[in-house]
Amino acid sequence: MNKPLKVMLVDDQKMANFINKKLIEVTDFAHNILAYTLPDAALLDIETQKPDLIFLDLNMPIIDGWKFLDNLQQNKNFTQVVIVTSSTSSIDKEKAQNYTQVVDFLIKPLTRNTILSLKNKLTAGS
Amino acid sequence: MFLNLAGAKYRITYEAFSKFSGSLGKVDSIEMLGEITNRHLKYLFNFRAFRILLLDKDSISGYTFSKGKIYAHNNSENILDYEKELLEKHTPFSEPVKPDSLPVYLSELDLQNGVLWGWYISYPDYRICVSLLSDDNVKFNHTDSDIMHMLVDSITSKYRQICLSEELKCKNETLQDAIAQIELKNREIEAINSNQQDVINNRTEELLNKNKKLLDLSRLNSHNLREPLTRILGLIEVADHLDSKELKETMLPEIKTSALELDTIFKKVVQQSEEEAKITINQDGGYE
Repeated sequence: MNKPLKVMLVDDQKMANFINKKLIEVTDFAHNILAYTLPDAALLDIETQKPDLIFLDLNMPIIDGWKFLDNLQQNKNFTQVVIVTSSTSSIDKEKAQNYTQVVDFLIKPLTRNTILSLKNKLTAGS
Repeated sequence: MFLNLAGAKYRITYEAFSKFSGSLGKVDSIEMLGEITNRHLKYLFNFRAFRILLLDKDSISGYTFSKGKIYAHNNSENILDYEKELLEKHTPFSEPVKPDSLPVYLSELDLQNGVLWGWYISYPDYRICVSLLSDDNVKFNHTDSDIMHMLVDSITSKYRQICLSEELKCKNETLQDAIAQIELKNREIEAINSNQQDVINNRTEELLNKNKKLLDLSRLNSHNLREPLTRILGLIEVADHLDSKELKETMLPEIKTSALELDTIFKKVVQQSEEEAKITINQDGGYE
């Protein structure tokens, strides 16, 4: 991927966003990082911000990751999504395969290596 | 003239016999056989008393007809001495009546030189004793023995038919009873089966519910337990890139918060699992 990325982080835990932002910075994965702890705020901004990629948590109150994805599909927004979850349940991973815009399913904690692998994967895919 | 008279008598007798045969067609019981015979007997030949005993391998049946009355016999005590002799020797006889050889109901007959006649007739299924009383006023002729034998044939075959049809009826009833029993049992079995099916369905549903609860619990635990842990691990991962101020003011307090959160959730999960296990054991009629 030649063009620097714009990434949107959606996680109700502020600290999770802080950690992931740090990792993205130190791995030089993206030049622009937008962090949201409220999924509905992220959905509101998505059309104006037009991120290249969304890091999406699954377990969030009110609007969880699945509702967030359904909302994107309803609005015909096909921004690429990487699910970032602390759940190791295989059921969630299987469910994620129903959404074509989900490009990867990562389990927390993210590491520099996970981010670098993702970077390679996206570069190879583009 | 004598021949004509004999011919006329012969014709009249056969007409009477064919009437008797016609009436037999409607007979469907042992009682009715006696009544019909009693009604027609006097037109066939002369007698003061006429008696027939039918014996098969396990039953005795018979009638005595006298003065228009019928006496029915159905056990071995009814066999008279001369009949026992007939059954033994099979020899037909006609001899003067010995009054004490007759049963009470026949001893009242005011016989004038009474004669007792006896015949033994054998059929494949039956042995028949026929006897007849005559006297000077009412004479029985040897020539009448033909018609008498025809009468015995007819009575015997009708009697046999009635016995078989009653046996058949009896067997049919037994069969009907058996069929009814089988149907009853089938319905009971069906009821038990459907009851079993209900029990199985209920148990299956219970198990599915329990499994679903356990799965939910496991998914929840998977997320809730790991979430604070991933924050601690994530912080350690980025620790190299934090300055000392960030380390002290952000990382340490966050590690403490997350560790405490983890502790609380862990206790809660253990408690939940224990409760779920208790419910399961109690429902299974368990160990308490």
